[in-house]
Amino acid sequence: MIELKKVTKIFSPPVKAVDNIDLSVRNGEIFGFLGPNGAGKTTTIKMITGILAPDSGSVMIDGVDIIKDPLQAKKHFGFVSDSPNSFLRLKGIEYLNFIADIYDVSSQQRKERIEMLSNRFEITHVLGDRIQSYSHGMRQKIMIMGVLVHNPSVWIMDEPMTGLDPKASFTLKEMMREHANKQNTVFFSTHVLEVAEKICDRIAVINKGQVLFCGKLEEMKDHFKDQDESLEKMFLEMIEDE
Amino acid sequence: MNKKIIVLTKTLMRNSFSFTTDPKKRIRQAMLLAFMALCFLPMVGGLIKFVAKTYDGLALVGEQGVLLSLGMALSAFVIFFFGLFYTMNTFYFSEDIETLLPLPVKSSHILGAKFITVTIFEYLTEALIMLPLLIVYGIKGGQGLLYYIYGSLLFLSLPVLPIVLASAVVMVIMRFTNLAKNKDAFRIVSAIVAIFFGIGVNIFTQKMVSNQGIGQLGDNSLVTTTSAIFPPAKLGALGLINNATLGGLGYICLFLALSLMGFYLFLILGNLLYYKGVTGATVSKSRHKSITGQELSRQTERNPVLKAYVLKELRILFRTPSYFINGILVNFIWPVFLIIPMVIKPKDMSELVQLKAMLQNPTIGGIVIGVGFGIMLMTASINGIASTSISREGENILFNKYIPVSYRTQILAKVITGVLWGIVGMLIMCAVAAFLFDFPGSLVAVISVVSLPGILFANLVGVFIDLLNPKLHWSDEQRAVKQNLNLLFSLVICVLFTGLSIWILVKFHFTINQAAISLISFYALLDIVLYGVLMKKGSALFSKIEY
Repeated sequence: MIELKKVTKIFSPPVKAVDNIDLSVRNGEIFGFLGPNGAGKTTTIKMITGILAPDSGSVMIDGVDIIKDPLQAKKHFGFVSDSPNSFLRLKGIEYLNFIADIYDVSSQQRKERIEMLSNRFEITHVLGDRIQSYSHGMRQKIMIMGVLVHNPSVWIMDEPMTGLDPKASFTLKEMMREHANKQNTVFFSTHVLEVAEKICDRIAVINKGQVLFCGKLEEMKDHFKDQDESLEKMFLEMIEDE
Repeated sequence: MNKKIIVLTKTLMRNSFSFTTDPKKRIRQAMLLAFMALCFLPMVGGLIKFVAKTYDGLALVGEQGVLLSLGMALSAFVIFFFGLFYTMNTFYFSEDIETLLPLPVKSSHILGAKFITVTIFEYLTEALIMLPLLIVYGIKGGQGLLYYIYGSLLFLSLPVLPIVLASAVVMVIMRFTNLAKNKDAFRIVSAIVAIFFGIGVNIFTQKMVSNQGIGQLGDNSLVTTTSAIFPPAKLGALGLINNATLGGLGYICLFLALSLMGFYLFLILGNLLYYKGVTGATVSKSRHKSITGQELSRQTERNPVLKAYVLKELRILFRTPSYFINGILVNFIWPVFLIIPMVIKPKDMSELVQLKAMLQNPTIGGIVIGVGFGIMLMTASINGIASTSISREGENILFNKYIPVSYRTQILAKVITGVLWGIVGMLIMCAVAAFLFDFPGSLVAVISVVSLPGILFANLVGVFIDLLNPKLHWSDEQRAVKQNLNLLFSLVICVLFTGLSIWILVKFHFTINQAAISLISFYALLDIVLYGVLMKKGSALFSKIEY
């Protein structure tokens, strides 16, 4: 569960990068976070994950305050950032084991999970290679595996589908659904509206630091019910109204 | 010169000196720089005084010109040596290459621009050696305007030939190592080869110099002898000495022509070698190494967080060529510099005997301990492993901030990594001292023990300085470790502390025991205080870092 209450972040006054937003992502749901470039998506995600401190407001992960008790809160989520180009000098297996050490995963469990995940993502054959030699998609896969190896209750992912091949993308969506079905939380940002439409239980649309809409897709469609609009059109209209 | 080269050079320079845009930080940076300049001022003053005295001494025998030739020869050598690093970094490891290669410019344009960038960096090094010499010679000799014009021309063109030589070495090596599959490893190996080649050149030229007998003194005859290291230095020096005659102009023109020829030779060589060496330099091939069940069990062993973090730091240090060259390799280079004179001038063994006799002398024992301690502290500081430890994270600093590992633990891991390397550097130095210089074992042991708190001190200072203002926005890894002022700041602090410690030991005639006990207790106490500050204030600084 992720809960944001009246969260604000200002980089260069008076412009508010994130303006007094409230969000609640419940257990058991896949939540899509949509918005144009520079809308405040990444800033919001950085505040949820404790990378940035909000100027005001509070962020709770599974009921733990990330500002007051950061170490405890950080144990509850796994995060995939939008750039998979980190730890390039480590081998795939070294990266996964490092993550497992950091999140204190038992030897038995990490071994089982690494075997299972590398099979599902089909990268068993390169686990002994340095991440540097991986393609963009493979790097993305290993970063996602880095989250799954410690199996946190909350998944936070910034543009996770970027660079994935159709099969891996399908596998990831499948895993997201499985995870949510076990009463866990999946929160991800995306530009691809079709992805949001297919797998999200609820979405939020953010622009210029403010949440314009938060709810089920059907509700959004009801909102525009006089016209039979595509999601893309609704999205564009909503942003332009601002 | 070609317009494209100028445009490229400008861009490359701007990219290298990416000073912070935050006005507050800029003021802080400027103030720190000014403070450091102030610290160096007495040193420069002393240097000029020393040069002036030497000039007077040499002028008595009519050999003052040797200052110029020796200075030029020495500058040329130092430029060549740094040139090996600079050209390797700017020509091959820099990531701007991937953006430059697809541009519609000739490879000679890219090379020309990169060459000029390296040359401009080398001016800083050259200025340290040549400026005092040129100025003292000019003032003391009452030289005219022509001398200063020739002097400036020489100053500007001097680095060209040594850099041509250094880049030729580097380009040949890179051309062939580019064939390898594991690029990083091969680059590291080739860096080591290039550096040993540089040291070989040093030994060779020094041998040549020492083989040349000294003839009749007077009328600047020594100029020829000292120029053996770098023969064109003779032309330059003679040009300056005879600036009033037409012959002087001839020498200068010859020197400039030689440099120009060298530059063109470099471009021709570059056209032949550079592209093939650099294309794909940053791509590495996958070996498709799958892992068997047994290996998997071994590779998925569970480690405590601190150990896992230190391991990660060490792996990245070792496997990233620019970190390896600038952080690890330097630990091995200093001892080699100490060994060189031993190998080439066995007659100096007599001095060594004197040194040993001095070591037995209890009145200077304290100084020996102090100097040994100072060398270890410097080695630990100059490798920059601690003082660039936060900067090296770069964009990845986000990772450090969202993982459930306290900032204390992360800082501690970085300190430990630096201390480990400081100890390795210390052991190498001790081995050199014990086996080559025949230092008594007990003395080496005392110096090692005394040095431990010093090494810890250097690393605590380094990490703290880097936390104050880390250089996180870099486009490629070498920028994190080179041109990182934090290394310089922490080095200055270490130099000040070392200098002060040795001064006190000398001033109060400490014996070995007194020196050892006072150094250990002072630095151990200082370390405890610093550790406390680093854990508290450092963690707070870490939590405030934003990217």
